[in-house]
Amino acid sequence: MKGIERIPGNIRAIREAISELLDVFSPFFQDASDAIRVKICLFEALANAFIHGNAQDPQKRIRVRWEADGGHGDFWVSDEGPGIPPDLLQPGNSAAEKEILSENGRGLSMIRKTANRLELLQDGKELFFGFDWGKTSDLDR
Amino acid sequence: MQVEKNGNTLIVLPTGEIDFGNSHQLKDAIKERLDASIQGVLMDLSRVSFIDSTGAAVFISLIKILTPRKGELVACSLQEDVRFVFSASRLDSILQIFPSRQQALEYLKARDM
Repeated sequence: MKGIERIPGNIRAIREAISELLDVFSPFFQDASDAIRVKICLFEALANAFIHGNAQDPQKRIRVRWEADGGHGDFWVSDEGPGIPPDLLQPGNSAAEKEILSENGRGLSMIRKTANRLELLQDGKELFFGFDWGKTSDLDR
Repeated sequence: MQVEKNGNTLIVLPTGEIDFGNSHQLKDAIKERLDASIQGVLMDLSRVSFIDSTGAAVFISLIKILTPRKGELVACSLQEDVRFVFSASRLDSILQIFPSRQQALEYLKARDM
């Protein structure tokens, strides 16, 4: 299965899109941790796109492309902003990893701790993350 | 969200999901109740089904307020998904987590809170 969502720039639409994507993906989940891993990553990626990428502009949209089968699920998330600095994706580089009591910079590190694959594409303008169902993340080890 | 005061401890009982759409309201609502007498804050998460990184930031904000007072933030009654989030966000390494509200209150009481 595959699809593309173009999500309007408001909190309610983003929450609804995440809920709908989780419903679409739920037949593929092999255990309960798959559902929460996908939910964490969707929330962090879409909140990052809405808040930082699109500066909460209601006129700007978030694009989510996805693919799923019995073995894996993949997401590509992009917004209308300038993109994510590539070094922020490296282990130890986010604000929350440098200072555990930082109130910012925790989202990307949470994606890295829960997804099985994570990559920045299109010069930082597209965030890719993927899951192997039933397998915990080893990106942060 | 329900909030009650027990001596110098504030017991907070949020409900639903804490995410980027409502975490600021939660933080403001708790801070309004954090008068100078409050040293302990117990977050009873029995009715919370999900927390994102902005929700985690609320906890960290409270820790930063309470630590200079020699106070403490603790949490109890985490659902399985919230426990997973606590691990992914490393919240589980910076605050005490208890299986029940009673155990959390006994811990705080032992600390004179």
